[in-house]
Amino acid sequence: MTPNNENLNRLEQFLAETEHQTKEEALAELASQGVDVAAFKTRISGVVRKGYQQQAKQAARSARAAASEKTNRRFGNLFNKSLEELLAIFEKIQAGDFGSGFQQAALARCRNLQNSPPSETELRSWLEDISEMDE
Amino acid sequence: MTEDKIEQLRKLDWEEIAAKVANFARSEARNCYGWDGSAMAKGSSPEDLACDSIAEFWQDTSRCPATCKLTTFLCGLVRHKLWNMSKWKEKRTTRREEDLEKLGGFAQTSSPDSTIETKNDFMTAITMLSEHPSAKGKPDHELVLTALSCGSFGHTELAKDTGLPITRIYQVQRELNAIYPDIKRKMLTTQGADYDSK
Repeated sequence: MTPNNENLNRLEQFLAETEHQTKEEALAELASQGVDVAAFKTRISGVVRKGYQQQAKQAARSARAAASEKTNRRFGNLFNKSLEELLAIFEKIQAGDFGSGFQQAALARCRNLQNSPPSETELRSWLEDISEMDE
Repeated sequence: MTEDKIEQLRKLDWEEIAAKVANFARSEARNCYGWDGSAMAKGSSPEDLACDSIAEFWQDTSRCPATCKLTTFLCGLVRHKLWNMSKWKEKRTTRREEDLEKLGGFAQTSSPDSTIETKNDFMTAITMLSEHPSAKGKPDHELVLTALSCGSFGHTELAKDTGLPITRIYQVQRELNAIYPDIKRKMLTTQGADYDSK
Protein backbone atom coordinates (compact mmCIF):
# COMPACT_ATOMS: atom_id res chain seq x y z
CA MET A 1 0.00 0.00 0.00
CA THR A 2 1.35 3.42 -0.91
CA PRO A 3 1.65 6.15 1.77
CA ASN A 4 -1.03 8.04 -0.11
CA ASN A 5 -3.48 5.18 0.23
CA GLU A 6 -2.44 4.61 3.80
CA ASN A 7 -3.52 8.18 4.57
CA LEU A 8 -6.76 7.61 2.70
CA ASN A 9 -7.39 4.54 4.82
CA ARG A 10 -6.67 6.54 7.96
CA LEU A 11 -9.05 9.27 6.82
CA GLU A 12 -11.76 6.69 6.15
CA GLN A 13 -11.18 5.06 9.51
CA PHE A 14 -11.39 8.45 11.22
CA LEU A 15 -14.68 9.19 9.48
CA ALA A 16 -16.15 5.77 10.33
CA GLU A 17 -15.06 5.82 13.97
CA THR A 18 -18.01 5.47 16.38
CA GLU A 19 -16.34 4.95 19.76
CA HIS A 20 -17.28 8.43 20.99
CA GLN A 21 -21.00 8.03 20.26
CA THR A 22 -23.41 7.79 23.16
CA LYS A 23 -25.85 4.90 23.16
CA GLU A 24 -28.68 7.23 22.18
CA GLU A 25 -26.69 8.72 19.32
CA ALA A 26 -25.61 5.31 18.04
CA LEU A 27 -29.16 3.94 18.09
CA ALA A 28 -30.59 7.14 16.57
CA GLU A 29 -28.07 6.94 13.73
CA LEU A 30 -29.08 3.36 12.98
CA ALA A 31 -32.76 4.32 13.05
CA SER A 32 -32.11 7.27 10.74
CA GLN A 33 -30.68 4.84 8.21
CA GLY A 34 -33.78 2.72 8.21
CA VAL A 35 -32.59 -0.03 10.52
CA ASP A 36 -35.32 -1.69 12.61
CA VAL A 37 -33.68 -0.85 15.93
CA ALA A 38 -36.11 -2.87 18.06
CA ALA A 39 -35.46 -6.00 16.00
CA PHE A 40 -31.72 -5.33 16.09
CA LYS A 41 -31.78 -5.03 19.90
CA THR A 42 -33.70 -8.30 20.19
CA ARG A 43 -31.22 -10.01 17.90
CA ILE A 44 -28.22 -8.73 19.85
CA SER A 45 -29.80 -9.79 23.11
CA GLY A 46 -30.16 -13.31 21.67
CA VAL A 47 -26.56 -13.40 20.46
CA VAL A 48 -25.25 -12.28 23.85
CA ARG A 49 -27.51 -14.69 25.76
CA LYS A 50 -26.36 -17.63 23.66
CA GLY A 51 -22.71 -16.63 23.96
CA TYR A 52 -23.03 -16.14 27.70
CA GLN A 53 -24.67 -19.54 28.17
CA GLN A 54 -21.92 -21.27 26.22
CA GLN A 55 -19.20 -19.50 28.18
CA ALA A 56 -20.93 -20.18 31.52
CA LYS A 57 -21.24 -23.88 30.68
CA GLN A 58 -17.60 -24.00 29.70
CA ALA A 59 -16.56 -22.20 32.90
CA ALA A 60 -18.61 -24.66 34.99
CA ARG A 61 -16.99 -27.59 33.18
CA SER A 62 -13.56 -26.11 33.80
CA ALA A 63 -14.37 -25.54 37.48
CA ARG A 64 -15.59 -29.13 37.84
CA ALA A 65 -12.48 -30.44 36.11
CA ALA A 66 -10.26 -28.34 38.37
CA ALA A 67 -12.09 -29.55 41.49
CA SER A 68 -11.83 -33.14 40.33
CA GLU A 69 -8.13 -32.71 39.70
CA LYS A 70 -7.67 -31.26 43.16
CA THR A 71 -9.54 -34.22 44.68
CA ASN A 72 -7.46 -36.68 42.69
CA ARG A 73 -4.24 -35.01 43.76
CA ARG A 74 -5.22 -35.30 47.43
CA PHE A 75 -7.03 -38.61 47.72
CA GLY A 76 -6.60 -40.28 44.31
CA ASN A 77 -9.54 -40.98 42.03
CA LEU A 78 -12.44 -41.45 44.45
CA PHE A 79 -14.71 -42.90 41.78
CA ASN A 80 -12.50 -45.99 41.41
CA LYS A 81 -12.31 -46.71 45.14
CA SER A 82 -14.33 -49.27 47.08
CA LEU A 83 -16.07 -48.54 50.39
CA GLU A 84 -13.15 -50.10 52.26
CA GLU A 85 -10.66 -47.90 50.50
CA LEU A 86 -12.77 -44.82 51.14
CA LEU A 87 -13.04 -45.75 54.84
CA ALA A 88 -9.25 -46.19 54.95
CA ILE A 89 -8.82 -42.63 53.65
CA PHE A 90 -11.37 -41.42 56.19
CA GLU A 91 -9.42 -43.08 59.00
CA LYS A 92 -6.19 -41.48 57.80
CA ILE A 93 -7.91 -38.11 57.85
CA GLN A 94 -9.14 -38.80 61.40
CA ALA A 95 -5.61 -39.71 62.41
CA GLY A 96 -4.37 -36.35 61.13
CA ASP A 97 -2.38 -37.68 58.15
CA PHE A 98 -3.77 -34.90 55.93
CA GLY A 99 -3.35 -32.09 58.47
CA SER A 100 -5.32 -30.73 61.40
CA GLY A 101 -7.90 -28.93 59.25
CA PHE A 102 -9.02 -32.16 57.67
CA GLN A 103 -8.81 -33.94 61.01
CA GLN A 104 -11.23 -31.42 62.57
CA ALA A 105 -13.60 -31.85 59.64
CA ALA A 106 -13.48 -35.63 60.05
CA LEU A 107 -14.18 -35.40 63.78
CA ALA A 108 -17.15 -33.13 63.12
CA ARG A 109 -18.37 -35.61 60.53
CA CYS A 110 -18.13 -38.45 63.07
CA ARG A 111 -20.24 -36.48 65.56
CA ASN A 112 -22.89 -35.91 62.89
CA LEU A 113 -23.05 -39.58 61.96
CA GLN A 114 -24.49 -40.51 65.40
CA ASN A 115 -23.07 -44.05 65.28
CA SER A 116 -24.53 -44.94 61.88
CA PRO A 117 -21.79 -45.69 59.33
CA PRO A 118 -21.88 -43.60 56.17
CA SER A 119 -22.84 -45.18 52.88
CA GLU A 120 -20.26 -45.43 50.10
CA THR A 121 -21.97 -42.59 48.16
CA GLU A 122 -22.12 -40.32 51.22
CA LEU A 123 -18.51 -40.96 52.06
CA ARG A 124 -17.34 -40.33 48.50
CA SER A 125 -19.37 -37.13 48.31
CA TRP A 126 -18.02 -35.93 51.66
CA LEU A 127 -14.43 -36.64 50.62
CA GLU A 128 -15.01 -34.71 47.40
CA ASP A 129 -16.36 -31.76 49.34
CA ILE A 130 -13.54 -31.56 51.84
CA SER A 131 -10.89 -32.11 49.16
CA GLU A 132 -11.60 -28.54 48.03
CA MET A 133 -10.83 -27.28 51.53
CA ASP A 134 -7.53 -25.50 52.12
CA GLU A 135 -5.27 -27.20 54.64
CA MET B 1 -12.45 -17.66 31.82
CA THR B 2 -13.89 -17.37 35.32
CA GLU B 3 -17.61 -17.13 35.99
CA ASP B 4 -17.09 -13.63 37.45
CA LYS B 5 -15.43 -12.42 34.29
CA ILE B 6 -18.19 -13.90 32.15
CA GLU B 7 -20.79 -12.20 34.32
CA GLN B 8 -18.95 -8.89 33.94
CA LEU B 9 -19.02 -9.28 30.17
CA ARG B 10 -22.72 -10.12 30.20
CA LYS B 11 -23.45 -6.95 32.14
CA LEU B 12 -21.89 -4.68 29.50
CA ASP B 13 -24.31 -2.53 27.55
CA TRP B 14 -24.43 -4.71 24.46
CA GLU B 15 -27.08 -2.60 22.77
CA GLU B 16 -24.70 0.35 22.85
CA ILE B 17 -21.71 -1.71 21.72
CA ALA B 18 -23.67 -3.36 18.92
CA ALA B 19 -25.11 -0.07 17.69
CA LYS B 20 -21.64 1.47 17.51
CA VAL B 21 -20.26 -1.56 15.69
CA ALA B 22 -23.18 -1.60 13.25
CA ASN B 23 -22.72 2.11 12.53
CA PHE B 24 -19.04 1.49 11.98
CA ALA B 25 -19.87 -1.39 9.61
CA ARG B 26 -22.21 0.84 7.61
CA SER B 27 -19.66 3.66 7.34
CA GLU B 28 -16.76 1.35 6.56
CA ALA B 29 -18.75 -0.48 3.86
CA ARG B 30 -19.75 2.82 2.27
CA ASN B 31 -16.45 4.64 2.68
CA CYS B 32 -14.01 1.87 1.82
CA TYR B 33 -15.98 -0.38 -0.49
CA GLY B 34 -18.54 1.91 -2.10
CA TRP B 35 -21.46 0.03 -0.58
CA ASP B 36 -24.66 1.45 -1.98
CA GLY B 37 -27.09 0.29 0.71
CA SER B 38 -28.33 -2.83 -1.07
CA ALA B 39 -27.70 -6.39 0.11
CA MET B 40 -24.00 -7.15 0.36
CA ALA B 41 -22.25 -10.25 -0.87
CA LYS B 42 -23.83 -13.44 0.50
CA GLY B 43 -26.97 -11.42 1.16
CA SER B 44 -25.75 -9.96 4.42
CA SER B 45 -26.12 -6.49 5.90
CA PRO B 46 -23.84 -4.36 8.11
CA GLU B 47 -26.04 -5.33 11.06
CA ASP B 48 -25.37 -8.99 10.26
CA LEU B 49 -21.65 -8.25 10.39
CA ALA B 50 -22.03 -6.57 13.79
CA CYS B 51 -24.02 -9.53 15.15
CA ASP B 52 -21.59 -12.06 13.69
CA SER B 53 -18.63 -10.23 15.22
CA ILE B 54 -20.25 -10.21 18.65
CA ALA B 55 -21.10 -13.91 18.34
CA GLU B 56 -17.51 -14.59 17.31
CA PHE B 57 -16.22 -12.67 20.31
CA TRP B 58 -18.40 -14.73 22.67
CA GLN B 59 -17.13 -17.95 21.15
CA ASP B 60 -13.60 -17.09 22.20
CA THR B 61 -13.38 -14.06 24.47
CA SER B 62 -9.62 -14.51 24.89
CA ARG B 63 -9.08 -13.27 21.34
CA CYS B 64 -9.70 -9.70 22.49
CA PRO B 65 -6.45 -8.44 24.04
CA ALA B 66 -6.83 -6.95 27.52
CA THR B 67 -5.35 -3.69 26.28
CA CYS B 68 -7.84 -3.33 23.43
CA LYS B 69 -11.22 -1.65 23.78
CA LEU B 70 -13.97 -4.14 23.04
CA THR B 71 -15.66 -1.86 20.48
CA THR B 72 -12.35 -1.35 18.69
CA PHE B 73 -11.76 -5.10 18.64
CA LEU B 74 -15.23 -5.77 17.24
CA CYS B 75 -14.80 -3.06 14.60
CA GLY B 76 -11.57 -4.80 13.61
CA LEU B 77 -13.50 -8.04 13.13
CA VAL B 78 -16.05 -6.20 10.99
CA ARG B 79 -13.28 -4.66 8.89
CA HIS B 80 -11.82 -8.13 8.34
CA LYS B 81 -15.19 -9.55 7.33
CA LEU B 82 -15.77 -6.71 4.87
CA TRP B 83 -12.40 -7.34 3.34
CA ASN B 84 -13.15 -11.05 2.99
CA MET B 85 -16.52 -10.27 1.45
CA SER B 86 -14.98 -7.96 -1.11
CA LYS B 87 -12.49 -10.71 -2.01
CA TRP B 88 -15.30 -13.26 -2.24
CA LYS B 89 -17.20 -10.88 -4.49
CA GLU B 90 -14.18 -10.38 -6.73
CA LYS B 91 -13.76 -14.15 -7.15
CA ARG B 92 -17.42 -14.60 -7.95
CA THR B 93 -17.35 -11.74 -10.41
CA THR B 94 -14.40 -13.20 -12.22
CA ARG B 95 -16.04 -16.61 -12.38
CA ARG B 96 -19.47 -15.50 -13.39
CA GLU B 97 -19.68 -12.01 -14.78
CA GLU B 98 -23.37 -12.42 -15.43
CA ASP B 99 -24.02 -12.69 -11.69
CA LEU B 100 -22.65 -9.23 -11.00
CA GLU B 101 -25.96 -7.46 -10.92
CA LYS B 102 -27.57 -10.10 -8.74
CA LEU B 103 -24.82 -9.99 -6.11
CA GLY B 104 -25.01 -6.23 -5.82
CA GLY B 105 -23.85 -4.42 -2.75
CA PHE B 106 -20.29 -3.42 -3.51
CA ALA B 107 -19.22 -1.06 -6.23
CA GLN B 108 -17.18 -2.79 -8.89
CA THR B 109 -13.90 -1.13 -7.92
CA SER B 110 -14.20 -2.18 -4.36
CA SER B 111 -11.01 -3.38 -2.77
CA PRO B 112 -8.64 -0.83 -1.21
CA ASP B 113 -5.79 -2.16 -3.33
CA SER B 114 -7.62 -1.58 -6.57
CA THR B 115 -8.08 2.08 -5.72
CA ILE B 116 -4.39 2.67 -6.43
CA GLU B 117 -5.17 2.72 -10.12
CA THR B 118 -7.89 5.33 -9.83
CA LYS B 119 -7.86 8.98 -8.84
CA ASN B 120 -8.93 7.70 -5.45
CA ASP B 121 -6.24 9.23 -3.31
CA PHE B 122 -6.00 11.03 -0.05
CA MET B 123 -5.62 14.61 -1.24
CA THR B 124 -8.41 14.14 -3.76
CA ALA B 125 -10.66 13.08 -0.92
CA ILE B 126 -9.67 16.08 1.20
CA THR B 127 -10.18 18.48 -1.71
CA MET B 128 -13.54 17.03 -2.61
CA LEU B 129 -14.66 17.13 1.02
CA SER B 130 -13.58 20.80 1.26
CA GLU B 131 -15.49 21.69 -1.88
CA HIS B 132 -18.67 19.85 -0.99
CA PRO B 133 -21.56 22.27 -0.43
CA SER B 134 -22.12 20.84 3.07
CA ALA B 135 -18.56 21.74 4.10
CA LYS B 136 -17.48 24.63 1.89
CA GLY B 137 -17.29 27.97 3.66
CA LYS B 138 -17.66 26.44 7.11
CA PRO B 139 -14.62 27.51 9.15
CA ASP B 140 -14.69 24.53 11.53
CA HIS B 141 -14.89 22.03 8.68
CA GLU B 142 -12.05 23.75 6.88
CA LEU B 143 -9.92 23.71 10.02
CA VAL B 144 -10.54 20.01 10.57
CA LEU B 145 -9.87 19.15 6.93
CA THR B 146 -6.65 21.16 6.97
CA ALA B 147 -5.50 19.32 10.10
CA LEU B 148 -6.47 15.99 8.51
CA SER B 149 -4.49 16.86 5.40
CA CYS B 150 -1.48 17.45 7.66
CA GLY B 151 -1.81 13.94 9.06
CA SER B 152 -3.74 14.46 12.31
CA PHE B 153 -6.26 11.63 12.49
CA GLY B 154 -7.08 11.36 16.20
CA HIS B 155 -9.90 13.32 17.79
CA THR B 156 -7.70 14.64 20.61
CA GLU B 157 -4.96 15.55 18.18
CA LEU B 158 -7.45 17.35 15.95
CA ALA B 159 -8.91 19.25 18.90
CA LYS B 160 -5.41 20.38 19.84
CA ASP B 161 -4.44 21.31 16.29
CA THR B 162 -7.62 23.20 15.47
CA GLY B 163 -8.37 24.69 18.88
CA LEU B 164 -11.94 23.36 18.60
CA PRO B 165 -13.64 21.55 21.49
CA ILE B 166 -13.59 17.78 21.05
CA THR B 167 -17.40 17.67 20.95
CA ARG B 168 -17.26 19.95 17.91
CA ILE B 169 -14.70 17.64 16.31
CA TYR B 170 -17.17 14.76 16.75
CA GLN B 171 -19.92 16.83 15.10
CA VAL B 172 -17.72 17.77 12.16
CA GLN B 173 -16.61 14.14 11.81
CA ARG B 174 -20.24 13.01 11.65
CA GLU B 175 -21.09 15.65 9.04
CA LEU B 176 -18.08 14.78 6.91
CA ASN B 177 -18.86 11.07 7.24
CA ALA B 178 -22.39 11.74 5.98
CA ILE B 179 -21.12 13.31 2.75
CA TYR B 180 -18.16 11.00 2.21
CA PRO B 181 -20.03 8.13 0.47
CA ASP B 182 -21.07 10.56 -2.26
CA ILE B 183 -17.45 11.66 -2.66
CA LYS B 184 -16.17 8.08 -2.60
CA ARG B 185 -18.58 7.13 -5.37
CA LYS B 186 -17.32 10.02 -7.49
CA MET B 187 -13.73 9.08 -6.76
CA LEU B 188 -14.32 5.47 -7.76
CA THR B 189 -16.05 6.38 -10.98
CA THR B 190 -13.96 9.38 -12.00
CA GLN B 191 -11.07 8.07 -14.05
CA GLY B 192 -8.67 10.77 -15.13
CA ALA B 193 -10.50 13.56 -13.35
CA ASP B 194 -8.57 16.73 -12.78
CA TYR B 195 -8.64 16.69 -8.99
CA ASP B 196 -4.92 16.04 -8.84
CA SER B 197 -4.19 19.36 -10.44
CA LYS B 198 -6.05 21.29 -7.74
